[in-house]
Amino acid sequence: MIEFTKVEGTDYGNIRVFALSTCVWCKKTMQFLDNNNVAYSYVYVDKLSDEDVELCLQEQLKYAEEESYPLVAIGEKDCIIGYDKSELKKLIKG
Amino acid sequence: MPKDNKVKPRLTKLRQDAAKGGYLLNTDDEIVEALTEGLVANQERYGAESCPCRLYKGSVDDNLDIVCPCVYRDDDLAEYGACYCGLYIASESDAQSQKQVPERRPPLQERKQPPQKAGETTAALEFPVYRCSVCGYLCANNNPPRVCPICKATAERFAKFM
Ligand code: SF4
Repeated sequence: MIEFTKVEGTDYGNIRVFALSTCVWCKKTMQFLDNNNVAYSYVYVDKLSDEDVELCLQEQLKYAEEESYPLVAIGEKDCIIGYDKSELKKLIKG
Repeated sequence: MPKDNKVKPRLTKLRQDAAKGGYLLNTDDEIVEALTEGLVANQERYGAESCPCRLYKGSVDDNLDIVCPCVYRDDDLAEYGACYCGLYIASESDAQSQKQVPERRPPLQERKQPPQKAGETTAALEFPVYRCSVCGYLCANNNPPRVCPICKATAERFAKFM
């Protein structure tokens, strides 16, 4: 089981951020979500055990072919790859 | 996160090296400082300054391509005006930060494939030629230099070219 950290806010669907603790673009992405009061959960993949990293990568593969961060997973199959302000804005505008 | 007393001197050195090598660091100080923190953190946990925006996974060898400066930097600077992390930019007008540069690093399996031979260039050479994977510098000698005289990458980042 991958342990996600929850951030409270307005519900826009099940938003999960796969992130790295050292990545500025992950930081920017989560800052955007914070500033717009979006409810989401996140995990720092670089902080996990090898086993959990594999679980994360398998989960990420359901959304995107390439392995890159941040990956914003929305619900079952939608996602935003990398920091993309205009896509994030679309997400909260619905 | 690493302490300030390691990050500050690293940042100073990074700025000096960039200037010396003819590279430009991002003019957004917040980005540069956060990435320098990431480099220091990765040096502490992985023993190498691997790319802060990429996942370090597998052996040291598997991650040589993403030791900063990564082998993808120059291509990204040429194509997008910034490296994947945004630490380096091509010119001051490239400092925009609304969208991340897309990842060009191939998956592990493709990275492991031996480089393709560019035709029959195997005519007897007196010396093998080694290529620096970071900056492309070529050197014909029995062994690659200990550090690249152009970009200061270490010997293990050289590969036999001819
Ligand atoms: S993308 Fe930029 S910061 Fe990351 S390793 Fe390459 S050169 Fe360094």
